[in-house]
Amino acid sequence: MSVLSNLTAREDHHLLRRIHNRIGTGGMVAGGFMVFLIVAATLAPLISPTSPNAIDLLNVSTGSTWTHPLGTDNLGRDTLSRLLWGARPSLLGPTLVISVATIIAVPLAALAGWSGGVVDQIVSRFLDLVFAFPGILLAILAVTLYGPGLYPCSMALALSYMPWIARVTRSEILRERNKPYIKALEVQGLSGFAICVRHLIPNVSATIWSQVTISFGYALIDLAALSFLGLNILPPGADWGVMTNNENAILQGDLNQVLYPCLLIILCVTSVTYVGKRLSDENTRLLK
Amino acid sequence: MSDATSNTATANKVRRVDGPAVEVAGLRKVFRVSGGAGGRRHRDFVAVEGASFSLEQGHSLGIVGESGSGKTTIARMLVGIEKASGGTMNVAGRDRSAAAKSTSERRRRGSEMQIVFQDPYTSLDPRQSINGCINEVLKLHLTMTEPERRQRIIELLDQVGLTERQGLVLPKNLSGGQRQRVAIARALAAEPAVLVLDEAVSALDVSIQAQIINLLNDIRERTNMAYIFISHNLAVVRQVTDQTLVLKKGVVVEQGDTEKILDAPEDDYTKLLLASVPEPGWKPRRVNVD
Repeated sequence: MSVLSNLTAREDHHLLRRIHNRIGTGGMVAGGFMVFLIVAATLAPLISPTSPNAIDLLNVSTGSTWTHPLGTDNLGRDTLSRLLWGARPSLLGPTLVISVATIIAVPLAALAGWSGGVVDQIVSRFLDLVFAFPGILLAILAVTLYGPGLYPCSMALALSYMPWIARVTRSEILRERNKPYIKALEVQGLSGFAICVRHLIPNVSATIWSQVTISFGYALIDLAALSFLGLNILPPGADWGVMTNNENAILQGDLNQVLYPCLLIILCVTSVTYVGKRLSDENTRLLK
Repeated sequence: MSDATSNTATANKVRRVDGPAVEVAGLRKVFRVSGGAGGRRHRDFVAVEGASFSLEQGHSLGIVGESGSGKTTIARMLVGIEKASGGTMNVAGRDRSAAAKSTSERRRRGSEMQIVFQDPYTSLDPRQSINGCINEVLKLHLTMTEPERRQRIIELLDQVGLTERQGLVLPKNLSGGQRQRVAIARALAAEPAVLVLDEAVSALDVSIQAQIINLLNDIRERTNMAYIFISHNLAVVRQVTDQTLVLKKGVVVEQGDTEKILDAPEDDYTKLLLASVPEPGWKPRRVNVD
């Protein structure tokens, strides 16, 4: 009974404290930063000081001023506004990539891990095949076919990230599949589909989450690189990747304008990966 | 313990069958393992060779033998986790020699025979509450309304000596013995005609073992369920079973009444098994099974 009372005592109805228990102070800071970015990106039309594309040739490459807190770029566009508007495709892109990749990867992994034998062989060889294409190369192919843009790039990256998530998930499912509780459900006569959806996949979710968060970071960097190369978001559109490609910074050493988007990319990738890692660690610990 | 179980108002239900609950003839399992003699890539390893037995409703059959003698393989073939290489199996009057082809057939077999595994720590879904676990089985096998199921869950938990509150928690909040009770309750929830207990008490400490054994005997008395009890512990086999089958390297060397086999064994291997049980004055010596 003492176990039970402990359990009741530990149950905390304060949401923030519950989150803190799970991801710690560092996780709270990282998670808070991500929430802040998402809110800022959503509210960009309301809170950005000026339009992201308003050119002001009288105020080119200013440092921080009262009207332009983060300065302006080589065309006099307000950097803060561009960062805020740029957060939208910069966060939406990786979200698209990992959502599509996970939606394809997890059922494939479950199919291979659950069925085994020939089905597993076929799925695994198919994954090997997709592995062979580097993401950036696939994105360039997609851009050649459909023109530059967030969607072709995201879908191409989703395809190339899919086997990473699928392979790790499959091996985890293979391990989990032989545990007695799954065998017991098979003996009960529960359908393979129900076992996978209700028991097998939820029990490997820690692995899936850690793969997803790591992939989010990589996808953000890849999409920024594609923007930098002029394949994803095209100027004058704003995107953190586009902003790193600033002629002034490159030719005249005005690093300020490149520093901000780079910093955001780094902080964003670090935060997501950290929260993901903490979540999956906790997930494993809580059920032990 | 016995108080908690005998107070149960509703007796456990069990599927009625005519004739023997389990009938097995010439059961055989061959595993293909890598590394054969003479440069061949595979060789055949015979795990079970021509096991035949039959078990009447309400009786209990013990399967004993040393590690690797094929006890668990027989259990796994019976419940359908392992495919039999040969022979026939008949449970509750229906043939199950071949693998189930459809989900409905698997479900029907599940309602005829259930199994409790050795390790209570891995035999429950760590994400599912005890109630959820039993509820899922009830939903699968029986047509019951939500309140009926809730009532039945409380009954089943009570039957295995767990409280209603313990049904709300996750497996990690229960001890090994309590988890094994849940595994038994889950198996009973399907109301099977036969229950296979594969080393089901071996991982538990002695006092918990005694409780579970009492519980099992209690349930069998009240429900007329048949047990197949697999164990290497001969003392436990004597308490739970009325017939015994001795396996040695996949071959049945002796079978008959438990009392007779354990008191007056005829086969040398059985004698050796009995002589291997530590007791006061016991002098272990290296023995060769062959």
